[in-house]
Amino acid sequence: MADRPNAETHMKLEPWAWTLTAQLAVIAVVVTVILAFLVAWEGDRSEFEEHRALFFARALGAVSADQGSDVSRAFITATAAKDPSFLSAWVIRDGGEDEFGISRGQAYDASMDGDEVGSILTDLTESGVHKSRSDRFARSTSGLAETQKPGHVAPYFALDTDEESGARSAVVPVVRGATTFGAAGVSVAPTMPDAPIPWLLLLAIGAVVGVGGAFGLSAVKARPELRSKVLVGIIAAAVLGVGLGGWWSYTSSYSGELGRRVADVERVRDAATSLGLDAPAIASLLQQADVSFTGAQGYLTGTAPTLDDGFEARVQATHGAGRRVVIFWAALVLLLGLAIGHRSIVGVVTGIPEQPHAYLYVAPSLIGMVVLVFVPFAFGVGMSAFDNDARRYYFVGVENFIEILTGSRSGDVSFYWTLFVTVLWTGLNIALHVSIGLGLALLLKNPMLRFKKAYRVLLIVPWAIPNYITALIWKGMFNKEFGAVNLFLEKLQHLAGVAEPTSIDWLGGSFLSAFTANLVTNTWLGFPFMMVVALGALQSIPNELYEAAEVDGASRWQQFQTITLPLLKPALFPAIILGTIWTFNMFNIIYLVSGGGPNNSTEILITDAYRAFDVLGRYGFAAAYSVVIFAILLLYTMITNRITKATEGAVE
Amino acid sequence: MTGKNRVGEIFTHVFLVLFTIVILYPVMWVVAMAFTPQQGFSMSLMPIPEEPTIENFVYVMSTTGSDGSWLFGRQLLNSLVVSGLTTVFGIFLACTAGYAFSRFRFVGRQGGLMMFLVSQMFPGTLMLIPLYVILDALGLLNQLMGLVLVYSTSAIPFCVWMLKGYFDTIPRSLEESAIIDGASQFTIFWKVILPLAKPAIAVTALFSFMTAWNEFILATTFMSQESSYTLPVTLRNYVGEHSTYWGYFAAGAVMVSVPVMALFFALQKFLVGGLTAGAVKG
Repeated sequence: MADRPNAETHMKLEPWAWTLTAQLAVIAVVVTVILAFLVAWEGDRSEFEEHRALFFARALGAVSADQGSDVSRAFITATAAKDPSFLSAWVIRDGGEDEFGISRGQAYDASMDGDEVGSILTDLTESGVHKSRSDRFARSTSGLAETQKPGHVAPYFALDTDEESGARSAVVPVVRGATTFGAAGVSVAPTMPDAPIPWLLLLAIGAVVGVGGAFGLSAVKARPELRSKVLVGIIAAAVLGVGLGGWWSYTSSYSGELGRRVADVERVRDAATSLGLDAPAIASLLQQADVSFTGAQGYLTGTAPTLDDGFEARVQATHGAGRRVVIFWAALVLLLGLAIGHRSIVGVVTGIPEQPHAYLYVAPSLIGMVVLVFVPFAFGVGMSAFDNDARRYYFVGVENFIEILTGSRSGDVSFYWTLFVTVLWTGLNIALHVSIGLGLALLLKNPMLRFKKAYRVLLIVPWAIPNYITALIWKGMFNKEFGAVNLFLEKLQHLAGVAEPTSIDWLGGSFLSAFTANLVTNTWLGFPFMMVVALGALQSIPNELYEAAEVDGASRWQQFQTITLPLLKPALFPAIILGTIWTFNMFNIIYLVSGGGPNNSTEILITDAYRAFDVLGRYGFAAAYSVVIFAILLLYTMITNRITKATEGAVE
Repeated sequence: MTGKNRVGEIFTHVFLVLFTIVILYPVMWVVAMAFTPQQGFSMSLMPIPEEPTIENFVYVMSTTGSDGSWLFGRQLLNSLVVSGLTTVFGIFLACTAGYAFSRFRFVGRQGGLMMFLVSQMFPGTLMLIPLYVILDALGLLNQLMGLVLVYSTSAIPFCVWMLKGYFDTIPRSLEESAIIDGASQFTIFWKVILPLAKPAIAVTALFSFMTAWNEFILATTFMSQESSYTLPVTLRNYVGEHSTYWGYFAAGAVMVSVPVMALFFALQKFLVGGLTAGAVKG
């Protein structure tokens, strides 16, 4: 059974001591991590402060783009007057005559000293183009123009933190129309300082809870009937604690920040009003300044502006809120893991000294998988309980799931239609892949067949070509006017004597034609894998079996049914299950060939989820959609696994 | 050989030749398009360009960035570095894990194997934002290394299962005799097992390389500058929503596909054995 070449590494420690130590460690680590999460959540204001600076810089940029230097100067004074956190502000414009700024305290600007600003100005005026020594500045001034290029997204602001004072600076371009002709910068002192994480305290609490919990668990050894009660008690206490702490932390920090933001927005509005700007100008100013403050903006006006800052900006916007989501849910997922996997974690930890090599070999890929696959997955699951408008996230519980499953999304194809299409898509694809692959493999198996190596090499060409290239090639092949498919059909009609050949609008015509186009593409791409798997499996079937069957007078078909198929199963079933999972989530083909059209009718679940993500910008909803997809696949695999026992042989 | 068999073989050949032509047609079509001067499709059904030209290739290869640097060379280098490192990482991670799952019976083994299988079901749409946040936190955003790590981990579950199956077919008696000779655990893995598993390792290398060489959605998301794009990102942009430069796309497609196809054909003789050895052991 156990294969332990180096048995001498087995440490000499009583088993019960290991179990207790492991239990203690697991509970202590989990509790400490959860507490650290909650404290860090409460303590981290960095993003909030950065966006305050950015907000003021954008407001200043917007004012100085439309108004003269006098108004801009007055605006700075009016905004800064009542706010002690306002450190400095400056505007530089093409021509160099409009340089001005104010500063409070020692720093002219937290990110650049006066000389640096001066030399930037020199660069700006001398070159006449927005060339600058400072990379940050160059990016911030040229950013807006560059975002216009399709497929290219550049930063359109620069943020900086002064490590000593904690001051945040933001630089934005000053833009009129499509021309960038200057830059505005603002530095603010932190208003809500970060709280350092009290690691020692947390460790102490974690250790106390860990020791208590572990002794509770080991006490269960003496009285096993209490086991479930003690476990439930520990878990319930932990869930309650984390839930209460999380709720308190979430509401207090969020409402605190919201209040601060609203105050900032009101200050800018007051300053603008005092300068005599008219209402539309103020509204436009707030809108421009409030790009990343839609929460506060929507709070004030009741209408959050629709934004399209490109993909990166939207993911950026998710970042801060995403951190909150991950903290909230990582805690819950950890607890859930503790509840479900407590015994296996302890088992693994106690198993390490017995099988050090095994864990050593598994560790690298396991760590990689946990950090880059399982943690993102847990994070994503956590996001599914949130909805968002641009930047603001709010907890909606299971509402996303209800919306998906009741199909109440307005103006969209029903979830159940998409599910039906997905199942149809997967089923047809797998049937075609397996039958074509198996058929070819049976033909190529024949030892007497000449050139079979050449056939085999040529027939796996579709597998060798990157699948996005395949998809785009077929998109071209199915093109209504120039596509080879239509040209071929027209030729056929000519030959058949049809006077006016009709051409089919494959991708935009109807569900059936677009679906067929997708199906043809994916069949072309997918059968070689099944062919190779079947070839390998066929090679391992001993020829004697067929010879014996022939002696017994079995027909070809009988041989296929009684020898080939049963012996192919162990190789084919795992390949089919894996193929099903891959096809079910075959994003590239649908996305690139039909694009889900016409009218989203050929979307499959994964592309529909991506549409919610990319087009609608609803990250929580897309996450919930993805969780539904995962649940369906998991259910499918569990059921087929139970029926076919496909993975059983492999796991044993 | 009987006459009946002859006829059967001729039919088989006719069928296979026709089928192969159908399969290869799209490939010939895109090659023809790459050598066709205009940026549209040729109206002819025959995939042979009337006036072959290499201007599409010249254009694609000579693209430069806004700062005048040689963009195509840079992106080719990015793709090579990312794919190469992903292959190295992928082989290392999959071999060690596959070996442990095959040779040791330890607590969590079955759970671990199932975890790897389950991870194949995670929809990509669920992972985009979390991965973005994690790479950002690790400082790996806009870094080739970030892509390498993500690609390596996305390729390993399948490779681990495949390698585990292959290792299972290697007789244990080989290791036992090595132990008697006084070999250490690592020596057995390195000197005995790995050399015997070459076919499966070749397939692992191929899959890891292809994962990295072909991927464009994560690369588009995590890379914000043209100079850090990989080739698929640029290639996909030639036939994007706003532009359809089919000639450039075709030329790029040919150039991107040739290396991976060369690798595929160099290693294809291992495919049959490497993929299925474990599953058909009986």
